Amino acid sequence: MDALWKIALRNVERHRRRTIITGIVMMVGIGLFIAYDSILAGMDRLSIDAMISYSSSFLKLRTPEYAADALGTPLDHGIADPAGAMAAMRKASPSIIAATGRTLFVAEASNYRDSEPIMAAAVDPEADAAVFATARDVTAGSWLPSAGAEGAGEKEVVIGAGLAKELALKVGDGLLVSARTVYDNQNADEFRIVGLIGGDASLTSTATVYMSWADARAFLGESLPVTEIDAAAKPSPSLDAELSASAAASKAASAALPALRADPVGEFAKDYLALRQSKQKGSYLLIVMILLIAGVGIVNTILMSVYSRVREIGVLRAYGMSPKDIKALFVREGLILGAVGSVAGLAFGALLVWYLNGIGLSAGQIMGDVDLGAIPMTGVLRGEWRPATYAVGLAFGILVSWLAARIPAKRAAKLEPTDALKFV
Amino acid sequence: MKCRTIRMAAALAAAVAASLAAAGAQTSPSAAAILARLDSNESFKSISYSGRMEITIGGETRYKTMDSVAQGADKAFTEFTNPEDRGVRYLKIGKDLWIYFPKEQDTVKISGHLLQEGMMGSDVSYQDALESQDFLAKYSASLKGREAVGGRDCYEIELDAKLPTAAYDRRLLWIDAERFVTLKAEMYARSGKLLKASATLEVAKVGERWYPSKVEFASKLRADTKTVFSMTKIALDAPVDPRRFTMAALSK
Repeated sequence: MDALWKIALRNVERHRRRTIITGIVMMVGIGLFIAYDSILAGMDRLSIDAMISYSSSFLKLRTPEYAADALGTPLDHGIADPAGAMAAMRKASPSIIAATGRTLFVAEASNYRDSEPIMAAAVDPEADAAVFATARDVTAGSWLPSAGAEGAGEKEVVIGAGLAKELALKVGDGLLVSARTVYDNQNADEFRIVGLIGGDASLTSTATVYMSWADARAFLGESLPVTEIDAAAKPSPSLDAELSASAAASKAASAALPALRADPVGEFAKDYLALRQSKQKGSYLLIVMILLIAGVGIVNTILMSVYSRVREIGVLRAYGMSPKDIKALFVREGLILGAVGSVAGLAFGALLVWYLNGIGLSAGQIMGDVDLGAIPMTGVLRGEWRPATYAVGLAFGILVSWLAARIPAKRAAKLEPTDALKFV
Repeated sequence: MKCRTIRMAAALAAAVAASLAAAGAQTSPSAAAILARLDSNESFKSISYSGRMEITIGGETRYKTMDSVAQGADKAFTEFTNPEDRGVRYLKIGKDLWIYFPKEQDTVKISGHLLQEGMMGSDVSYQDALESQDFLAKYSASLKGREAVGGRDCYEIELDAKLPTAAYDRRLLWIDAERFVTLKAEMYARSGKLLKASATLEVAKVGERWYPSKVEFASKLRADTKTVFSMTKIALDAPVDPRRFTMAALSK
């Protein structure tokens, strides 16, 4: 270590109070930035995970014709060989651990007094539960019985707790469902409610009425096709890894099944991800502001250090230290302050993220009753470890400190030894 | 005595003749013949009219007015004229429906299932309002008997869908025995559930044909709801400009 570094380090130690104040400013600024970024990433993860768990799944296979008119849930653009397509998809994308076929259809649910427009889904109860989280969110009654089990195909439905509340229905009651059949005409029939879905699914699921394939085919026509195949994969450690894995699996499935369209979760979360990018810009704006405030603190600290040590500078100049050395000395002081503050900030940020990861925050409590439309925001919000954020925080903290120290360092270097020694 | 016998024989012959005449008057035509007469009145190659819907839901009534033109079962164009929806236009071609919203100057395509839904929240589906009925082609008919509806003698006809693609799986129609228009109807789903019922409130003479001009529809899937759909300026089978059924006409 050269002499200038030693003197700079000693000066930082000597002015301990100022060092501590500047370090605390930087520590709080960088720490809060890391925690803020972690929360934003956690919110993104929560939203995308909810989409995967309840609507889009990890990967969705449909015919191109169906995908082009998906909002109309047409029943005439089904997948020709769903079992074959599922097998080919799993072979092409080994990351996929489960797959299921679903058919969504627009319907009307009624209690014979009032009616509500709904989205219903024909599902394979067992396979669906392996891909989606809906079955786990049954809060009253039970999920649909598996094909072949007792009660299967006996006109039973599981419905959203919200729909049940709207229509004042409970488990065991009859629900009148009317919908367009495969023959383009209307059918209506009564189904017994066997379960209610509450929790996260009540907000995030695309369907509010679920029925087995056997019941759906008896209701809508025996030729009712499977209109979408949904897949599940093992969760990835981070959101970016999850999105990349989904995109890669989608690409592989598309190559293996050229007649079908494979859409990754990112395709369904397009709008949300665009919003996320603008959030990231806001996040970086915040760190710039935080670090500028910290930078002003550093400038102030070092300026005060210069003015309180003008006579000392005169002595150093009289001993033969050049203006360049004086400038370098104060820049080094700034760099040491920045490094100390930034490292403290990283430690503080890591502590906050550790707390967020361990305990988590209730997303419902944070968001209250705010309706974000298609963006689900329920469950426990946990932070995400993002090493890149720590690197950005450290680099930016040191860079700003270095820049901030240059101004007073320049002023100190300009002082003449005689003027400095006479300075009172 | 001989004269008396002759008079009695004559009276008996007259009674038999009267009885036979009366029996002849009560003989009903076949269900197919009744449906053919009904189709000749109610089916059309094209129709244009000014319509009005009185939609009553839970005691609250809303009004919608519109000008419509339709060609067969595939093409229809409707423009709403009531103040709230003025300029909203529907274009139906086959199974596809486009809706134009003038305030947003935006067109939205809706397909399939909405054709079964109530138009503008009413109990009248797009098919009910815009499509020509051709019962003979889609249903097999049987005459169940005769029954008076609103004081008018009617044939009660049961229609069973010949094809699964018929709009309803089963219909019961009460057809005016004199004018051959539907005075009452019940529409059933494949499950046997009653979906909808209609009652004709007014019948208009359009050219040489009788046509139901005011009909009350009630969905049976929910309570306290009905829609009275009335038509004026009805023109049947008049030539229609094919440019009416284009996207250009929708957003002009």
